[in-house]
Amino acid sequence: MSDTGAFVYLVDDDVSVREGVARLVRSAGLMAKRFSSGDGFLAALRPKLPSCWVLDMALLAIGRGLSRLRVYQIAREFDARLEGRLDERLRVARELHDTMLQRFQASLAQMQAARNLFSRRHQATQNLERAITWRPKRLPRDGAQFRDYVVRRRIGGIWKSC
Amino acid sequence: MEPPRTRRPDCLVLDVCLPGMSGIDLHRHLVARNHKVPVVFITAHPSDDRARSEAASDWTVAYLIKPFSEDELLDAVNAALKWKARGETNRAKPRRSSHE
Repeated sequence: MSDTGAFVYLVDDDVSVREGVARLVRSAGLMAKRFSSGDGFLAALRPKLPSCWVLDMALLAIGRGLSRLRVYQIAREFDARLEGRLDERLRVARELHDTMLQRFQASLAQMQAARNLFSRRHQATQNLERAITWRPKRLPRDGAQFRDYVVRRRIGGIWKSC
Repeated sequence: MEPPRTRRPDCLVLDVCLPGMSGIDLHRHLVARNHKVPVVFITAHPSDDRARSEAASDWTVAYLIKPFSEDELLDAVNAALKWKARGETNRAKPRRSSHE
């Protein structure tokens, strides 16, 4: 893919995916813009108001209106920042659940299996070896499926299921 | 005074599951407002057939399952850019993911 100057917009709430895909797109000679939400993307599509206005005094009434508009814009930016922080916390919590907790759980299960077999020395060694060298190759997909299961049954109110 | 124009995307790489407005909702919103942007959907939910069917549209180029390879993504983006360049005529059917 040559340098076409084409713009690729990327919308993903996971910051690591967003950064990684953006780098990949840029490495292919394209330009990338990143957004963490659909609302952020739509806001970027709307025409932007200039940050500075030069007004005739006769346009004072309009100026007052614009001041109010600016206050409204600042309030919206503040709300968006607050919402972004909340989203980030939820994402971190979800990531902790999907990866760390499940990997820990899997390792613990392997260790427990090894402990249960300690009376049979040879099998215990083999199980411990498996626990040490275990690689969660299938974990990303299993994790996603597990998350779906949990979201549907237990905590749908916290994580939006789409 | 005319507001400055915002550069429109030539391709949109869109996560299906997003906080607030989902990727599917955003895509519907764009189509309803006649924003003609080819979309590459990405998702970590391979078993969600409903989302897959809802994502299908004339402007959906690919539906990739995470983790996807570099080639899969760049091929899809390349196809989307070609599609955009060709315009609405001679559109091919949406490309299917290799994870199906």
